[in-house]
Amino acid sequence: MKLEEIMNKNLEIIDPEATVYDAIERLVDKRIRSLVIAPEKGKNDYGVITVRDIVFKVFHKGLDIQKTKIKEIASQPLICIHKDTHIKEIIDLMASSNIARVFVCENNKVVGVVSLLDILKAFLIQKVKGEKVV
Amino acid sequence: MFKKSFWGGSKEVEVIKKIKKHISILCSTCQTFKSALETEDEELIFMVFDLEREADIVRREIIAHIYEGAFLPFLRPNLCQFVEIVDEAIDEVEDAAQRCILGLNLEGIKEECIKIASLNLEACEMLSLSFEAFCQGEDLREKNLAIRIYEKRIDEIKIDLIKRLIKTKQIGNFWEGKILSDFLEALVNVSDVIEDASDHLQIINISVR
Amino acid sequence: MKTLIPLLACFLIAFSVGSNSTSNAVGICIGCQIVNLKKALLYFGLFVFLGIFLQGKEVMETVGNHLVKLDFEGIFLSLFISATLIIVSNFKKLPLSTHQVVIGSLTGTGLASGLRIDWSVLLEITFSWFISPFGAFIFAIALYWLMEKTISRMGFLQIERLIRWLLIISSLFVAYNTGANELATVLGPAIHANLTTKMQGVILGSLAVFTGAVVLGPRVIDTIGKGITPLDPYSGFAAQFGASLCVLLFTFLGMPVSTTYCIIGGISGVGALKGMKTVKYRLLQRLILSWILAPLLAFFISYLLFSFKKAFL
Repeated sequence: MKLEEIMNKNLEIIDPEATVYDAIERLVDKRIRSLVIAPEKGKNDYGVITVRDIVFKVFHKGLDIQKTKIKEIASQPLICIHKDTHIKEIIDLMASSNIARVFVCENNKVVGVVSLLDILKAFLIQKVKGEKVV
Repeated sequence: MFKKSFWGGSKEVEVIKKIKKHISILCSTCQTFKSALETEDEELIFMVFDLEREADIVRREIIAHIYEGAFLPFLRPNLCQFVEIVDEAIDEVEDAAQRCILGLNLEGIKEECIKIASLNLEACEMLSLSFEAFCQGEDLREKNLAIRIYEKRIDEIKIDLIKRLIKTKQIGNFWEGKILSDFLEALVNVSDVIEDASDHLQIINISVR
Repeated sequence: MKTLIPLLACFLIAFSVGSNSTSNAVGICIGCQIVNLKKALLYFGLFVFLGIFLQGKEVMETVGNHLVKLDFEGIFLSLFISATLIIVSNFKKLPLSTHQVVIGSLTGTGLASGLRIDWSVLLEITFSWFISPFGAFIFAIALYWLMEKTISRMGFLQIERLIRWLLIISSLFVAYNTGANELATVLGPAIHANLTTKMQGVILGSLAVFTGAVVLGPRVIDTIGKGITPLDPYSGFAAQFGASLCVLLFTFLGMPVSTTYCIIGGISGVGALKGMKTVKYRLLQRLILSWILAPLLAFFISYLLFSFKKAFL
């Protein structure tokens, strides 16, 4: 199963200077769990902010969502993989790093994201078809 | 009386064979349509029309057989309903195909449309597998879920597609817009109807166990 | 000549048994269009005959001999009263159970005529009436559970074929039981009072049942399911077959029990398994009422009439 078939190419990108509130608004409206943070001017490194980041680092610590900037709680750098990576390697990576999604990068640009849910669906379909997944 | 009951009736076996044929026509239709989109070959579009006519004939044969006395009465309406729904899916593909020869302009969205047609084909094949499993007495839930996954994927593509169209597409006149809209609706509906058929098959499955 | 009237009464009761039992036996098969009406009735009649011929002995003994051994006058009155009660109740669309009327009547007459009644047998019979529906309840549930474990794995076509066959077997079973138990209850007293020979009684009795089925059966079939949830063939088979097994068990023991009540027990069993209410409370009330009323009514009427006759005639 090709990574390209499973990955989600529609990425939601947010400015690092935006507030946590902006992030929350985006996450809720789009019904997603993570946002890609655009690299700061002149730099190349993307970041990611997830619902876990917001709940554990902001709400739990009592920070103000209107005042806290995304770049303060972002997970950086982004964990990138090449689009020819094998699914098994991806699962191993997710397991060892305890992350729920990995980003697919090409030429230093983020082109897609693969989440646990995407892998789950792929697994089921392959199982039903009787093909081997990993 | 005994002959019919003993051999389980060749009628029932006939009906099952014809339903399998009907579903395979659905798959062929989706395959042909996908190729038509990829190659923009008008011949293939006309093949879709032929397939739809063939499917209609098979459907009528199935329903006639069923009401001539195949299967226990409580099963008949559900089986007929299933066949009608599969036929509806084929009709939707035909609908989409019809729009193609009315001067449809897929500029900018052709790739996504092919992707949807491709997923439709996967869903059909899954339905085919599902029916096989049904005949063997196996559990249908996983296959049912797989079809739902395809349907959801298509829905996601559709939403992105329409958002993009709203932003970028220039429509010349009302009919150009209507044709495009009808085309997309039919294309996306195919998987909805297949999902319906799959649900229905599950209902029939449960009613006998 | 004088044997004619009680014999007629006896066969009249058998006729009524035929008309009332047909729906139990063939209702489902006809509803599922597995077999047409004519063939269904023919097979029904055949298996009733087989039932009473092969297995009627035990119940006939119990009712006609062990319970109470009536003389000619007693039989005359009992059968006459029973037949009248049953016909009237059928007319009023409040079918009373044949068994209970006959046995109530026999007991009443027997007591009034001062004959020896085997109370232990009466107790056994009443006890059987009481627990047979519950037995059917349990048998039906067990059977359904068994079917789920085995049949559920089969392919669609195989299951469909199997269900047809099961339904046919089940209705033949009910017919067999009707002969072996219900008809035996009616014929027992007549045969043991030497109103007719065993073979004659069996043949004529079966014929009477068959006639009842042909003449009035079809009308009753239409009313099946009033107050009872129609079950799908799968569950219907479990209910019917479970009930029939229960009736067969009691037939072996020589106890006359009602197939109708057992089938209701079976249907309730399967319904309970599915968590639904299959029998309306109102129907249940009516059934329990008639279950108590039937034997008592027959008992008292017979007792009074016979005492009256003894006193004044």
